[in-house]
Amino acid sequence: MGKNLVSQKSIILIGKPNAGKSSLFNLLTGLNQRIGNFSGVTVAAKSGSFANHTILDLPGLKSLMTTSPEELISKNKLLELTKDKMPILFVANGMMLEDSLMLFSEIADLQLPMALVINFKDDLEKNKINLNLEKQQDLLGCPVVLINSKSGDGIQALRTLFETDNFKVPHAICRSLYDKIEGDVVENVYQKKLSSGVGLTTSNAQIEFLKRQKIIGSIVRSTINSDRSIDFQSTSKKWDRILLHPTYGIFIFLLVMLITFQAVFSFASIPMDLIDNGTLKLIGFIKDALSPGWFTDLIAEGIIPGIGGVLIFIPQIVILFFLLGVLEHSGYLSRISFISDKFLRRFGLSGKSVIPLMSSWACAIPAIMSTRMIDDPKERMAVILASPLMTCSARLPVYTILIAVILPGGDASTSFFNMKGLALLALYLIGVFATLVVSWFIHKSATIPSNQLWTLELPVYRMPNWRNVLYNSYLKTRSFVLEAGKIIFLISIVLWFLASYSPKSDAWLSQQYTEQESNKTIDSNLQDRASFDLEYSYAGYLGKGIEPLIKPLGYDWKIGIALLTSFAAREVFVGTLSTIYSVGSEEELTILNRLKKEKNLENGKPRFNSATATSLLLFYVFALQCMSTVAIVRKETGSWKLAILQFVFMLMAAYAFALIGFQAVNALG
Amino acid sequence: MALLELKEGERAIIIDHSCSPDQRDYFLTYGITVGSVFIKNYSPSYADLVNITIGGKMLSIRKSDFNTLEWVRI
Repeated sequence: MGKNLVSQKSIILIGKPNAGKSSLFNLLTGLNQRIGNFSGVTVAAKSGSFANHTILDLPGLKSLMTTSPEELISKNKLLELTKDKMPILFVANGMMLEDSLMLFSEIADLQLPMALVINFKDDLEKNKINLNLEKQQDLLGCPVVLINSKSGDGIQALRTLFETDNFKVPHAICRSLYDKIEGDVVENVYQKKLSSGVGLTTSNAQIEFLKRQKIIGSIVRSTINSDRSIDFQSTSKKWDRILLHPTYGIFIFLLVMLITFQAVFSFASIPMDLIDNGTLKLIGFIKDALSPGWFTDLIAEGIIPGIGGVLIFIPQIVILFFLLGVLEHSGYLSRISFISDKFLRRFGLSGKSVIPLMSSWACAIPAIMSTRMIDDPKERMAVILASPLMTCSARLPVYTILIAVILPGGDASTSFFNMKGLALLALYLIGVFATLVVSWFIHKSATIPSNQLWTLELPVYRMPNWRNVLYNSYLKTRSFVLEAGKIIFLISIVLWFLASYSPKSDAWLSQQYTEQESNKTIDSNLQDRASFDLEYSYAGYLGKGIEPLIKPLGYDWKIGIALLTSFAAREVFVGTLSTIYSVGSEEELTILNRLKKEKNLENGKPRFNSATATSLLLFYVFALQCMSTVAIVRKETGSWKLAILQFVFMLMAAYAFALIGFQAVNALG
Repeated sequence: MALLELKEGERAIIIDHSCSPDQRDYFLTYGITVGSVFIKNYSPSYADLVNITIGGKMLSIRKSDFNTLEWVRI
């Protein structure tokens, strides 16, 4: 919590999923909010400031009697926070008031100061539903405010509520069921029962549920004036007849996905180029502005390119989160889960896994973050561990250049169907297949308890709340940049040091370089002094050190350096090869020609032949060369052991498949 | 009664269930319990799910879970 928030009074914001709680939170706090993880748990709770109060936004909760592991975390946090008698702002969906007030009644029985916010004022007015707020306040025993979280209509009443601190303890609904009478002493054990996690027996819970339903139903019926024969879901059901149609529902789904991911790649290309060029210009500016020396090199050749490597993915991440936000807020995202559920169940997954998996095509980091929507811990773990096998955008530069080595000829973009395009598609399909196989394996072998209970609530279709979509895209992107940025920053410094310094003295290097050049024993590709220095740098020694290990894959020490540096991020591979082969920042074609000209000193044949390129492609399909992903896996699983295990497993798979690929292509001639 | 016996758009009331205690508690948090009225919306052949409206919510549950519920048409 920020320092400025500490002195403020805190309010808990809670409600059922799809009540418009996040929209209200964004409306109240604007950009003055932060996402923080409560210690020891993976649930994200946001905090923000409104009318001199700190609002703590807890994740949606269906019931205090919940058995869902994700919701238990939210429930326990609520109970912990209420020990300090913190007031509660409860958000109800006005179009599903009876359902929302069931949770309200459970929280009301905690007997803490509360206020009820009824959201979707616009929908209520559109459907000519009138609420008698005064009567509702009397019956519930706490203030009731009607609001439209999209437009902000009603926010003034909420501001007044905050400023006057008019939260009231509501009437208890079923609290007396928990009275424990011993002689003249009556002790209520409601909170104790909830905190202990020991619930009522099923039959008692059912009696309690029906009692709550009866009381809440009666309150709602006596305070609402509407034509109850109207089916508010009729429009959604009509849309579902089209979008979930047994025949063309699946084609619509595939089309939506195609458009979404095409948009991610198409719309992101211009801003990505701008960031890339901006980074290069900044490097040039720093080199011009600062005096030459290690500090300038560290900034210009280490930190800025490293951070630039993170920033370049911002456009894709923003666009992906924006589009996924649109799909989510429109109600279609839940339908995608519905459509894909049966297919994914064969691999131990469910419809709730489909979004994180597809997000991995852009970047595994936001995809892993989005696994929080999966209830089943085993399934969530499978998606976290398997999703980095999906082809992320960072693999694309590597794939593009290596496919061009194997398949010389026209550009992939000149015609719709060509061999290069099909090769790229095949690599994507290998990634999908590997993801499903690993998920199946985890499902069959992991000892994590699985939650077989599964339901999917389909919200009604509605126009997205654009402000909310934008806020969420911004917050998730900021989280990505800060998390990944910290790690990349450190790795950039280490890599720069390894590639810039040598265990040998400058005098020794100069003497060796002069001698080798005069004796003409040096490889023609190493005539550039920078490449010579790289060979004798710590990174060069590392490359040579691993050469015996990677030789069976068809790689030499130079490829070894590129492999090592690309463990920070895959896309570094092409850049490192550029440096090694002394082509600097020239065009990709030049890099390609350099790769083609590079000779294997042992047999005089091209180093980058079909066998080597196939081997490298397979290596990059399977290897987890992205330290940001390792860090986010550690964050989401809370385990370094799992993150390292995943890294090692993928590395071993990469090695095995690269070896098989190299040997097989060589054998085929 | 089996799922197929209920047509799309028909209303029914739950009269009993043969699910495990965990499943009963879980269903209860969604309002699926004895005495609850629901409408069957759809259950397409490509999905292993049935969508119902219960307590004002559109809920999708597994067909096998649905078949643990005893219901009568109303």
